[in-house]
Amino acid sequence: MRPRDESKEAAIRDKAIEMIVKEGFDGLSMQKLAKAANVSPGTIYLYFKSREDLLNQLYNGIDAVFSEETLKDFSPDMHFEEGLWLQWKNRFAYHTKYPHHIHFMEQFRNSPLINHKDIKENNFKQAMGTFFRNAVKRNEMIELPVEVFWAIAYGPLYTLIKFHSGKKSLMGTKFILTEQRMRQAFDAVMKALKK
Amino acid sequence: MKNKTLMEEVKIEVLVFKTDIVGKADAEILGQILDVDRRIKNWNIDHDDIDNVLRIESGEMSPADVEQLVKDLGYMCEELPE
Repeated sequence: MRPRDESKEAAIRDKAIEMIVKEGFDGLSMQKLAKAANVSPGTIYLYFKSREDLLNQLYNGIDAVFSEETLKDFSPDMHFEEGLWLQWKNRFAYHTKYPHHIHFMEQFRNSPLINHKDIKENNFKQAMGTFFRNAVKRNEMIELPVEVFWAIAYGPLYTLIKFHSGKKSLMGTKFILTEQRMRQAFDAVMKALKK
Repeated sequence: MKNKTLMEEVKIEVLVFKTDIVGKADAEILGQILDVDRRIKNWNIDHDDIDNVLRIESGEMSPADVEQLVKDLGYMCEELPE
């Protein structure tokens, strides 16, 4: 066996994500993937045990990047408004940097694959949970069930990111999410959540 | 210098084969042989793949060894090139 070639492995991962985003999980076969990544099917199995293992590793890899990028400069002890604004900025920056990831994650989380035993939990979830509880404890925001909180706190951001990444927005024209527009939405969210 | 991992010391190789082992029942039959073969460190069959890929981690077996072993059980087995 040749030594692990990280650039080859990265090419396989990138192509696999691209194929899944374009054609769904059913569109991913090892043969098609090998062709797209310009390697032989045998090579893919040097890095991944099976198609299932490949999918799990893709998810865990993307999730780790997401966690790292969104927790940049962030601490769960931050003041609610300051922390949430940093989350908005980090998450938008992340989705701009990795446009396929958001679609991959959505597809993955809506499939039975998410229940696989190899799917890991990352420290992102824990950090966000602590941040949420701190904000309630310090009276910086109103008390809400966590799903309702998420819908208000992040729903608008993800809707705007969708408009931004689409070719056309509501008005049939291209919408660019500038920091100023993001701030307008954020301020409205703050009005709803602040105590 | 980096510490050598166990894998590097015994030079475990990944061998990959196209087979006609489709169902779990056939895989179980094969498993009875592979599980007790001390030369094999790990093995699995990718049942999601059209080529029913058999993947073997071994430091001592050659591709021809594996092909023979599987063929003796009555299955098709052909190395997938790297």
